[in-house]
This record gives sequence, C-alpha cells and structure tokens, in this order.
Amino acid sequence: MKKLRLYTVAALAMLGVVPSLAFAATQTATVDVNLVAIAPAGSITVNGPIDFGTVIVADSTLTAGTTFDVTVSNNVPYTITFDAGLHISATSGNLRNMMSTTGALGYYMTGLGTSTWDIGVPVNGTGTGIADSFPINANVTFGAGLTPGSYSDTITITLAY
Amino acid sequence: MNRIKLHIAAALMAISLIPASAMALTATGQVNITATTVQPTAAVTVAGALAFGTVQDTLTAVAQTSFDVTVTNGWPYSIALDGGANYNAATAQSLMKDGGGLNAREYVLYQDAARLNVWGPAGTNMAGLSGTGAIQTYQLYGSLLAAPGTTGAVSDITTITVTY
Repeated sequence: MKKLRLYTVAALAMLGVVPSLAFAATQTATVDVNLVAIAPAGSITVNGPIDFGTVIVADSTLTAGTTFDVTVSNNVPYTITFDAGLHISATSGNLRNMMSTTGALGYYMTGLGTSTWDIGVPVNGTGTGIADSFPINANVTFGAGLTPGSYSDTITITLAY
Repeated sequence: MNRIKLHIAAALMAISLIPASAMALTATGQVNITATTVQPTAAVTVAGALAFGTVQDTLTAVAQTSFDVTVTNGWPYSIALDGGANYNAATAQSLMKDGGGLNAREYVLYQDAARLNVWGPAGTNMAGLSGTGAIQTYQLYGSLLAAPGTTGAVSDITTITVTY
C-alpha cells in the first residue's frame, strides 16, 4: 500500500496540477475588501425672491438681488445652469422678461464676478460638502413709457452633479 | 480560498452601482422676480383768488394767496406760472383787464414776501423741488401797480403748471 501511494503523488506532480505543498499543511487567510459606495449628494436653496418692490416709472435702472446656496458632496464636480425664465425673449441674448397683464419688463442678471447667469450656460464648481453661496442680481430699466402694473417672472436653477 | 473570491466579487458588484457618468443627478431651485411699477402723481389746488380789493387808480396794493401741491414722495418737480391770460411778452407785463379791454392794471406775482423774485415769464420759475407724498403749500404774493385813469373791475387768470 505504501508503495502505491507514492506513485500516485508522483504522477500528479508530473501533471503540474497540484501545488507542491498540497496536503502538507493548510493555512487560510482572508482579505476583506470593503467599499461603501454612496451616491453623491447635492441640494440647492434659494434664499428669497428678487423683489424690486414698488417702483415709480422713470428712465432709471435699478438692481435687486438674492442669493442661493449649493451644497454638493466634497470633491464632486457640479454645474449650475439658469434657464430663461417663464417669458423667454427670442430677440435678445440673455434678456429675460417679467410680464404683467399688459406687457413685458426686460431684465438682465448678474452674479458672482463676471458671471451673468447666461441662459442655458453651465457654471462649473466643485463640491465642498458645505454650502457655497452665490449671488443673483437682476438689473431692470424702468422706462418712462412702461405701463404701470405688477410684473413677475420665475427662473429655474438646475444643479447637476 | 473561496472566502477571498467572494469578497472581491461583492466589492466589484458595489462598484458597479456607482453611476457610470458624472453629473447624472440634478436638483433644482426657483427664483421669483417681481416688480410693481406705478406712475408718479401730482395735484395742484389753489386756495383762492388773489384779490386786491378796491384800489384807487393812483395807488398800489398787495395781496396774497396760496396753493397746495402734492407730488409722489421723492419725485422731482417744478412750478411755473404763465403770466396770465393777458400777458404781454414784449413788455413782460401781466395785466388785469375789464370785459371790454379798455381798462387794464398791471400786477406782478412774486415767490417771496419781500417781493424780490418775480414768478413767471417775467422772472423765474421754481425748479428742483421734490415731492413728499403730502401737501406742500406755496404762497403767491401779488403787487398791484398804480394805473392812473383806469376804473372799474379788472381781472386775469394765471395758470400754475406743475411739471413732474
């Protein structure tokens, strides 16, 4: 019997299938590979309306503004994109319109630095995990010929991340 | 050996759950923009006639009245007088006349009680005023000149124009 077993091992070794240490001893080790995969988080909060209040019609330009906060997970790139508002102006670049029941009141936006929150143009940023605040300002020229009334518009800000 | 394989497979499955492309997620916010526009307003109310009463033709007289102006708060305006319906631009004279136009007596309207600043085309108008939204009262001071030989009742109408 002893002789027969030796032959068998030798035969298997020749095939190269069995490790040389096989059957001599067994040691096990585990490697834990843990990955917590979470989706990046993002939120946007607009801090109030842009309200010009009651303005006496005149050939003057006024500015009013508000701010909004963007919170995106740390190191996650994001973009902020402004739409054209509810009353798109087909005739002039980034001119947006407030509307009353009788007419339009055009306005342009400005923001941080040179940003003018152009219609549909993404502004890039990188998340920090805490709120980043951005200004939004609207400039309106109240022309003397403007029909008195209540004008309004709503802009949607889209945060993509 | 089997245990190692299982852990790696689980990890790979977890990785595959991360979105393949960046910026697949969005959040939106809305900004409302509002403005209410109004026209400035102004009103003028004259308190009463500038009545010199009965004055002998060789004598002078003074009289005074006032008018109220109400203009939108903070809104600039000016007040102009036209010199009256019988104003003679060539001689810069304001005249009260009778119905037939035979008798006339010259008068002058002033901005001040000292009667130094003539109000109207013969002098200056008030400019650079600012509304308060409430009544602002202005005094109008008149001087009647002597006009020997004229008799009877004479009158004139001066128009006050507030420009705002």
